[in-house]
Amino acid sequence: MDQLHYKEMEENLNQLLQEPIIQGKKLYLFGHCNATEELANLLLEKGFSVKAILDNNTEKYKKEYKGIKICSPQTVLAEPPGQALVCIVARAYAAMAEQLKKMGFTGLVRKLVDYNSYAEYSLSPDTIARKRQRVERGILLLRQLEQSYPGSFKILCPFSALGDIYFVMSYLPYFMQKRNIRNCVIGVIGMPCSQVVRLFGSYQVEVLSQKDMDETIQAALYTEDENVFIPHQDRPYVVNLSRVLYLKPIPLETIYCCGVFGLPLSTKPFSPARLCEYGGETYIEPGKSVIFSPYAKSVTAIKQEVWMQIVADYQKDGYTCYTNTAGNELPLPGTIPISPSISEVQSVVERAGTFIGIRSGLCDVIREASCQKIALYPDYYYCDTKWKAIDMYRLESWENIVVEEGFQWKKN
Amino acid sequence: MEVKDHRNGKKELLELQSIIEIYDKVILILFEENEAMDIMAKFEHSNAMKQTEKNILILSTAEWNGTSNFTYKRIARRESSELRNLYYMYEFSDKFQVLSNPNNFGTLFNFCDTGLLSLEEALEAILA
Repeated sequence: MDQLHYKEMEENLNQLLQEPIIQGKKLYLFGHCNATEELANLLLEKGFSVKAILDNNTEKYKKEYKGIKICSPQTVLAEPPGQALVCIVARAYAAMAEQLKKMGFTGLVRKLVDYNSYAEYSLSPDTIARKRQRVERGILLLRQLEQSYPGSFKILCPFSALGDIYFVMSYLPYFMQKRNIRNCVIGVIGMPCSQVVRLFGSYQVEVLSQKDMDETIQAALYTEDENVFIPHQDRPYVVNLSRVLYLKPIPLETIYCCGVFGLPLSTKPFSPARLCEYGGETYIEPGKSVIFSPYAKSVTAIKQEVWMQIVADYQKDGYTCYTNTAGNELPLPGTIPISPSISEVQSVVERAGTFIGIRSGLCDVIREASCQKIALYPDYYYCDTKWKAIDMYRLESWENIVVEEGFQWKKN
Repeated sequence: MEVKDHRNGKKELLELQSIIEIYDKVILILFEENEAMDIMAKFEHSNAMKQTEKNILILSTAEWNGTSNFTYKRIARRESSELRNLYYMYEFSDKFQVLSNPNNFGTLFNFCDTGLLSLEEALEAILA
């Protein structure tokens, strides 16, 4: 979960906790994902107990998070009327709220993060009027973009995820060739994503807020703007590519290559061309260091004790351990924080000799680094599919390890 | 470009609300007549459609007289265009889907073009 959404969730939660309606209510969360785990952490820190995490994916029912069971949404119906409160921090809020209503749940449902400004399951005049204004704002934003980058085709990346941007940039030149596009501007959310774009060349990049991006994209859809392309596998709601996963497991990179861009499976992705040497002050002992990357925005976390096992093992063998951190992230205990820019990360891990990270977009950024690379996969199901994270994100020429319950680290 | 005020079509909105409540899935096909008829024929013969327990409504401007495990409704071009505009204004239901061949995002049909899915499989994914 990114910092902006986390802040929004924290503020909304604090506001909710001040309201009398929460008193005495049994708390349920809906949708097991990284954001829901963050919300559970916050609630537990504040001394609240969470009765259960509701989820539609039956494969998840064997699991729990910090002692909180993951179970069917029907579970909440066992509570006496008015005694339960369901909090949602998932993108599918509108569908989840609708599902609870259809099930006969009459208690309170609260959205604590607005992850999806596209959806509102209502056809009321008020809703339509607001959405119409939203499209009108989007049309103005599209015009501004056109004025800033006259004649440029617009690639609007709807979500702030390094891995997604990496795949977009890996295949974009072929797409531009196919569409006969001479120049383009890449719209992204957040500076880190713009840095990933720049790894691939001297592209024009416009950094937008999530709200502006959503509105611009909505306007492009509404107006069928032929000078806009939205490269994503499941955002916004009109994109149905990820439905393929109900049938078969197709790695995310293939979804981008063949599904998003319509390119042949044999297409060879472009690699980053603008990597820089690390210029920071932290000394890295060549070949005898490990860079840890324990944080990810959209995948469930790996327990701290797992990281500590691995750190201890490397330290025992005389390695110096570093944690790649950004913003408020804390280094793993006993490790040195290091914060290279996106373009420097590859040089850092190559100098260190070993990289061990949770499977996040950062792994894509350094996927071709010449060093020992280990990706750790939390043992979770990708969205509402029956495929595990490793089925979607496995990296060639890496050691790919699934961290299951009771995992014990063993160096190869 | 003018953004249409859909609040004026109250009768149509009530009808849309009603079909969303009745059906598990509503699919608006925006392909031209011949392509739309091809897709409908594929739907008609697809195992996924034969086996589904979902209550499905397909809307299109094409004339089609087949019989299958779904309801088909032929709609006027104006109605199709209104529904299209509303759908691209916001996500008003997760039961409503549009099948088209857009220029500004990828669709499941790209998997068919690149050999990863058959059309039958793509339709199965749509119904899933």
